[in-house]
Amino acid sequence: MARKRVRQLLRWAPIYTLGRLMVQKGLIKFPYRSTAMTVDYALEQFRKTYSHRYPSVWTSAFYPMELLHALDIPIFSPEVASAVIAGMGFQREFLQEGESKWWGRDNCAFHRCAMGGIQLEYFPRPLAYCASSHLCDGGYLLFANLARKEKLPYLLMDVPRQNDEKALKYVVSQLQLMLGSLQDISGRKLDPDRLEEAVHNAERARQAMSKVNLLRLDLASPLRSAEAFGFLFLYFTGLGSREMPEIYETLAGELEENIGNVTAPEKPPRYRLLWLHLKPFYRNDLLNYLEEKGARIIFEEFNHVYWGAMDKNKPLESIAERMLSHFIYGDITHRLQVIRELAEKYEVDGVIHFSHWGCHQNSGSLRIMRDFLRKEGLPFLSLDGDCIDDRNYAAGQLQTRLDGFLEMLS
Amino acid sequence: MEGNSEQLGEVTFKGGCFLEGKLGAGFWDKIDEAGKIAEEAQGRMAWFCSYSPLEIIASCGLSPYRLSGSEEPSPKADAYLHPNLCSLVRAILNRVLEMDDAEKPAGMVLVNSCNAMVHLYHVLKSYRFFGHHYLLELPRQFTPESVRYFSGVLREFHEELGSITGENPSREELWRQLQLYHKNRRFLLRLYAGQGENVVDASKMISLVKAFTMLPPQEFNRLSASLGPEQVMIPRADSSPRLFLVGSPVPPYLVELIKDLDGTVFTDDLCVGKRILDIPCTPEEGEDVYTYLARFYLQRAPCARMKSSFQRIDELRELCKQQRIQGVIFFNLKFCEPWYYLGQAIREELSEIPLLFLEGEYGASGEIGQMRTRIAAFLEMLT
Repeated sequence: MARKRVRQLLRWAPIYTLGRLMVQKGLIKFPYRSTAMTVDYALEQFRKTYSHRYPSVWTSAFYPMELLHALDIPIFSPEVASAVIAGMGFQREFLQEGESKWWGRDNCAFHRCAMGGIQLEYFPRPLAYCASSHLCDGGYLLFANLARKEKLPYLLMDVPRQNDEKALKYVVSQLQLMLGSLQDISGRKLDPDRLEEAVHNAERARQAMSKVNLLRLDLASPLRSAEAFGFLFLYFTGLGSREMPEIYETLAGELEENIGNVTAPEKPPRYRLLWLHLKPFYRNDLLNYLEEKGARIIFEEFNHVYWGAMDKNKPLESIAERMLSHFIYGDITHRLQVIRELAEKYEVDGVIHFSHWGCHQNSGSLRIMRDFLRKEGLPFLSLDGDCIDDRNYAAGQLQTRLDGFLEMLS
Repeated sequence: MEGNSEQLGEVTFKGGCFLEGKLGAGFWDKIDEAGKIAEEAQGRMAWFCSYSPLEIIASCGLSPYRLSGSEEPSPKADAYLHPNLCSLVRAILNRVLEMDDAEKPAGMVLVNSCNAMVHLYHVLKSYRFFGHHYLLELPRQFTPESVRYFSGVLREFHEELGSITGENPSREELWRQLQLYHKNRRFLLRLYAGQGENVVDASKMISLVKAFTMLPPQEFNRLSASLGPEQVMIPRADSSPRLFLVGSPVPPYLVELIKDLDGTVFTDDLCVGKRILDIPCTPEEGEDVYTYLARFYLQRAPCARMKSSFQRIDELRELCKQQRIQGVIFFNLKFCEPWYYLGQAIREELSEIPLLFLEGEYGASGEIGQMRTRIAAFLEMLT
């Protein structure tokens, strides 16, 4: 009965309006104003999705969100929702439900959790499943499966790995078709000015993210890795929105102010680390444990701004260029170069890769990464774990591995 | 049916007929031996994914052959690839790691069909296991845009491969190779269709398809000319429960296991079986060869990674009805995501037909005993 009530409550749009009011009135405390703005933005997306007054769609992690913001279609990302669910501590119920319907534990827990969310009817029913094929096989395949099961449209962006002129044309042609399909499904007509505005917003967000990343070079920057991961919600759903640039600009201002106000600099960490891939989103002490041991995650690979300037006068080309330039998707040498650049820029002493069990994309080239970083003289640790499924979290084991790694650094 | 009646005439492959005078008497012995010889032939170019454009490789004077995975567990490969990656890809790498220099092909052509294949490519290239490594882009959908894109990919691949072998890549030679491969595909498809009251034993067909993927097309044509229908057919009445085998690329032991347990695989939907033979379209008048090749590969009976694969469930249901299939065996290679997601849909939607969902490694291991028990129980249930 209690579960049923929670389910009803989560699917009740006014609860998100109430949540927004509480955030806006400062009744819930956040470390930064920009964090509060991010939560407010997220609640608004959920409100719109559950209100049923908007033509909501599901999106996979790397889908071009600019198109949806241009059409004012609210976004529901089940992968991001899985991270939120894990953060709230509800993930086990979702995962077990998914597993009870034959979804095996060898598959990505982000997707298994999402499957549970659908079966338990926590997640909203979309008008269409919008997926992009790049980086993650599981995402577009899950959507294909769901679209078939629910007899709903399945819109796929097929993104080649090779970033060249041919691929650019191919992706641009698909973006054009995608806009047509989204208009048909949503019943909304695209205003070209809104598309330009969405790309302009994405460009402003890119510039503000880059500024935040530069500010993080300052030892006095207060932004910790756990907080920086929180802003990824925007990276996965907000590109093209009006809110994303505002939030990052606010964050940059807050960091500048904090840095400017520092009179006695904090003792620098003993070990500076670069974090590759994502982190566990359920409650855990991993990052705190590192801090206790004098180590700090100085930067996370996923916060790297990998794409170049976006031109609102060439909106689709700009979006296509961004999609094709993802450093984890192309040749492995691209990712290695980025890791090297980040390691140099942030002057790190070592690199940790969090190997999420179900992620075949990220864990596939660990040996190559290790050998490359060894040549670069950078110690490397691959930490096997799970971002969502805390049943795969063995704190003692992970701490022992971290201890061994930090000893090696000393 | 009398063997491969579509004789191809004299086709000069580099080095001539490399099987001549080297094979034993029995047909299946010949097939086995030919495969071994093909693995040692000069100018070999290895491939695995069924979307590899064999015609292009052959038209550059190279001998394309399918590199199968090692059937032993793959500890060596695990040092390079994470154990949560597709076990076939690890088995292929294991096979490569076991090769001495003389056994190594000139290179390997991989296709961006799934994450695991891309990682295999990265490892092969990073540690320079072969002289040449290629990773071909492969769209996931059949649309005018994807055909245009893929035809450009194929043309560039042809030019690049030709520049390496020194063979001037000619479109005429590519058309010719296409015809040769198509003749063999048609021949094998006719066998698959059965004859009168006789039906095909798909386990034997999978062996034949293996030979098709190992040998240059003219060699396969010559070899299969001596094949009599009795070698692949069985009377319909004699067949035990009629099975349909579908899923990821199956390891050889699985087909043998089913056969040992008196199961008859009537037909299959496998990239190591019937699916690689599909000819979905013919060239249009004046069509460019790369455009045709792009259409041909993108329209074929799809792998689970293709957008159209979920629509295919309806065709599979129809096929089961037509062939009066009594049981479906779905095999999912451990960590093969595309087939896992499609397999779940097949399991739900083909609920009117008994279905056995098997999951296993490519390399033979302790789980074979378990699999045997499950297959035996499934066959018992059907009889």
